Parts: sequence; structure tokens; C-alpha cells
Amino acid sequence: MPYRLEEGALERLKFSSRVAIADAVSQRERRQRGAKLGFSVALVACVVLALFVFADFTQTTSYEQFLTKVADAPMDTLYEMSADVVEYAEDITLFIN
Amino acid sequence: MASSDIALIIKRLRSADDRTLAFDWIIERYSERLYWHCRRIVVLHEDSQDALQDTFVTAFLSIGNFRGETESSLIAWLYKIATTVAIKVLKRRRKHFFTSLDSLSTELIADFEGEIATDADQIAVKLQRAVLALPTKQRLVFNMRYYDELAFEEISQITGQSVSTLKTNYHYAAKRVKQSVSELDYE
Repeated sequence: MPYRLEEGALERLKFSSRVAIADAVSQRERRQRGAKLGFSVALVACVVLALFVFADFTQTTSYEQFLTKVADAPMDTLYEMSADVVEYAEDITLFIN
Repeated sequence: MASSDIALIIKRLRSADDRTLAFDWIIERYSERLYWHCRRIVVLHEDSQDALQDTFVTAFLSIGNFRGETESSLIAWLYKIATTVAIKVLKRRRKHFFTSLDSLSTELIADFEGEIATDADQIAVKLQRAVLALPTKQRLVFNMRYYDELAFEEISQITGQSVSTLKTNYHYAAKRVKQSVSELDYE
């Protein structure tokens, strides 16, 4: 070919092509690792968010639990419950009797 | 090269563990002809250098898309990538997006004048000037047929054009080149 080409230019080209491939491969691996990490973080965030939403959805306050218990509880249970929170349980016993 | 050797290379290209080694062989074996293929399209050494590197990087990253089993199909695949990349490099040189690549002929010939080797054969120089004046499609066919001695069937795989279209393009290209060279002789 009538084109000008420095001596050894083709050998240098082969070398730079190998370097370019190695760069491209490591770049692609970095991108893949980044994408995997991003996906994992997003997945964990979704799970945590889902747990919060589920917990909020099923959450009942201790006051609501207390009311539910009280509604159907027999007298004995009521006594036990009040004895837990009242300092002088015997006064309550007197009052009930 | 024996068909069993090329089959082994292709097998290694498809294996993630042996790919780099097999690709080294490809770089060693095809760099020179792919470089000249790109250079004949883009003319400047720096542009051909970029085109060749991009060709190998693209080929390496997309080796999974290569379905062939023979050396001829491997060459056609590499030429296809090199041609696409070189055309892309050439397109970057256009002043406007909608400008035809054919309008770059004058610029390419001017670039070529600065790229001629001091000991270049004068007939080869005249021939190259004539080839650079061709429309891009004809120039591609002419280069691959005349310089790279590829079969029309192989060129068809590379360009995606039918063999009959390629033969017509080559016929017109050869006619124009002959005419241009003889005109240059009289100047």
C-alpha cells in the first residue's frame, strides 16, 4: 500500500489492542459488580420497606390488646390483670367482694 | 491453516477460560489485514488505529454472537465489525449529520496526499486516488475484492448486500478506477 506507516507501528497496534481489550473487560466487570451491588441494595431496601409496611398494617397497640382481653375476660382474669398493675391488690379484692 | 486448528481456536473463543489466549491469536493473525482494511476506508493512521482497537474490543465483547465454524466465517465476521466501526469513524468527520459519506471523497483524497509513503509506487498512488474518489459503497466492494481478494459471497456476508448487487457495484467501480487512472496518466 502506498500509505506511510512507521516501522513497528503494527506491533504497537497489536499491543494497544490487547490493552484496550483488557481495559474493556475490567470496565465491564466493574459495571456488572456495580449493577449486582445496586440490585442487592435495592432488594434489601425493598424487603425492609415491605417489613415496615407489613408491621404497620398488622400492628395493634397494647391498649387495643388490653381492651380485647377485657371485653371477653371472666372475672378471675380481670382480677389477675388488675392485681398486676395495682400496688395494693388486697384493696381491690375488698372492693370487688 | 488446517480446519481442525481453526475449529480448536473457535472452540476456545467460546470458552470463558481460554478466550483471552485464543483472542491473542486472532490479534496476531488478523491485525495487519484488518488495519489496512480500516486504513483504506478512513485514510488517516490515527483513525485506523482507533478503528482497529474498537474492532477487536467489540469482537471480544460480542464473541457470543459469532455462530460460524470456519475461518472464512470468522474473517467475514471480523471484517463486518471492522467495516461498521471504520464507517462510524468516518461518519464522525462529517460536518453535518445528514451529509452523505460520499461528499468526504475530496477530503479523503487531500488526507491521502499527506499520508503517501516517500518510497510509494506511483501506480499504486494513482490507483488509490482513483479508489478514494469512488462512492463509499463501490469503494468498499472494490477494496474487499481487489485488495483483500475476498469472494463476493464473503463480501455479501460482510455488507449484507446481495451478490448480484455487489458484482454490479464492483463492475462500475473497476470501470471508473480504470478510467480515472488513465485520465491521471494523461495529466
